[in-house]
Amino acid sequence: MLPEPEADVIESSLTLDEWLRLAQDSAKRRGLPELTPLLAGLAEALQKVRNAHAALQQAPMAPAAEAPRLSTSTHSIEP
Amino acid sequence: MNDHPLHRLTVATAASRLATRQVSAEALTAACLERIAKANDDVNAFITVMSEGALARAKSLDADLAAGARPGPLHGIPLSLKDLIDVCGVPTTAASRVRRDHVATADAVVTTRLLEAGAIILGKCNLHEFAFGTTNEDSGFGPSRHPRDPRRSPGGSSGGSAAAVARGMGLASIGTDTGGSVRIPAALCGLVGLKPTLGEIPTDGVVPLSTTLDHVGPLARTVEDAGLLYEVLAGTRVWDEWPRVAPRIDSLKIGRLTSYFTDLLADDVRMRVEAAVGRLRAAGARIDEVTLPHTDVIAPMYLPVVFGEAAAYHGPLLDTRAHDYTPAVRQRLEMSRYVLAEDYVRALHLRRRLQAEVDAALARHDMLLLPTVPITAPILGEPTVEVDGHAEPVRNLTLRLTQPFNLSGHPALTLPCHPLEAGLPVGVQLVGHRHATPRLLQCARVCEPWIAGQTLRD
Repeated sequence: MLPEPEADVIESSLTLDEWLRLAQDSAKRRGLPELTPLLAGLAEALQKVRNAHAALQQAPMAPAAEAPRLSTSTHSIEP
Repeated sequence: MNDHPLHRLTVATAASRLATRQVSAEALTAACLERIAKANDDVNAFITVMSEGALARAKSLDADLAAGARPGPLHGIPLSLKDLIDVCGVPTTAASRVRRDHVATADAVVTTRLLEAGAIILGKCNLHEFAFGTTNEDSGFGPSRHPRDPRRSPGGSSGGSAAAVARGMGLASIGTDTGGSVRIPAALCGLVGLKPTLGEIPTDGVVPLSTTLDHVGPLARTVEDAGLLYEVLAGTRVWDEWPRVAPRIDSLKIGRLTSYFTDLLADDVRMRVEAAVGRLRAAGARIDEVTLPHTDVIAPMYLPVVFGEAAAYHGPLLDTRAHDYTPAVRQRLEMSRYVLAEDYVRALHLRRRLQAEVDAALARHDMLLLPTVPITAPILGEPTVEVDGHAEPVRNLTLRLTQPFNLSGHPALTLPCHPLEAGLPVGVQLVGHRHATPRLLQCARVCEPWIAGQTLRD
């Protein structure tokens, strides 16, 4: 018999706050605490992706506001 | 006609002299190898130099020509490859200690095409480890250095390729471009760099960074040379039709990208791109301003695509050889492993919208124009650079104006601007219609004298 699935994992999509907490905890467990600020920066970027995607689903090709300046964070996460 | 030393010839000039036997492949190759021996220590452009094989092939090509063989389009042309591209029997290190024991067992498709066209491979060039960066400072073989100022980065990730061509260590080089890795170093080193339409040039036999966004493309001294190399790499013809289809400068309609694309520029870059636009206008080109919506999401959507795909490739290596990566590249790869599949797919959806928006911006234009990189060559090891009084991350800045066209798939080419007195090189980027890379090359060739003003390459 299969075990019961963990309800908190499958009931809804993982929020980015939850994702960030899980990712940072995992990185610390794996001996990579230096990923903490990088993952926070990645979470910000992924939130923009999710927001833009949600807007696209509701109104495809709707015009958007012009881009803000780049962040002045020194934690660059671009490849 | 003999005003340049052999290692400074363009591909087009050298090909013409080789075909008419005014110069031998052996002499040309020897001149480039001599240059490597003299200048490579300054810039650390090469990881592997294939002197013996290159000279042997040059002699063989000379003998073929003497025996009446019909020369291929690159017959006897000595060039280099970024060390992500396989050459059978030679290590492909990807500038990483992770692959220090690797030896390729077959040629990449592009290697085969170059060899069939008669090219001579001088060696394999340094890069940002696994192409996962834009400065070349994270390499298992030490950083490549800028050809004019060794304190500075040549850009990346194909930085060794750019330094090699700029210093005469080969007439051209073949790089790869996932977010700008051909165009960024070409611009920072005063060269022409081409990223063709997505999918035009096969990437088989090339170590991947992002299988969705990776492109192969040439770094060269002129648009004509980039076109000759593109023909061979893509297996198509460009210049055969040139006399029939070449546009006139006063017939060109150019959309100049503004807002996001001009908001954040170093003064030197802004001034020199403005001057180039002024010269094009004075020559009769019609230039109007255009912009793209949704630019705020360009950099964010790039991340899950590249991170997700890089993690898929590197995951097993990180599990077994994590300490063989350079620390900064390892960190970013480890971070990449946390990207969720759902965010990866969302980014792919957004990418399709960007593609449609760039198509729309091009609808009434032959091409789009913008700076290639917002800054000149940065100092090695400095993570930020000041622009408009703000410290901005070098990596974000260098990718800002090139990565949109990896995501959209449009062909894009950088060519050098007229230099200020003692200034570092600045590139202007031209973006063409999808699946019309030859047309972009033709338009760029028409614009080249006005953008360059005077050559940086001599």
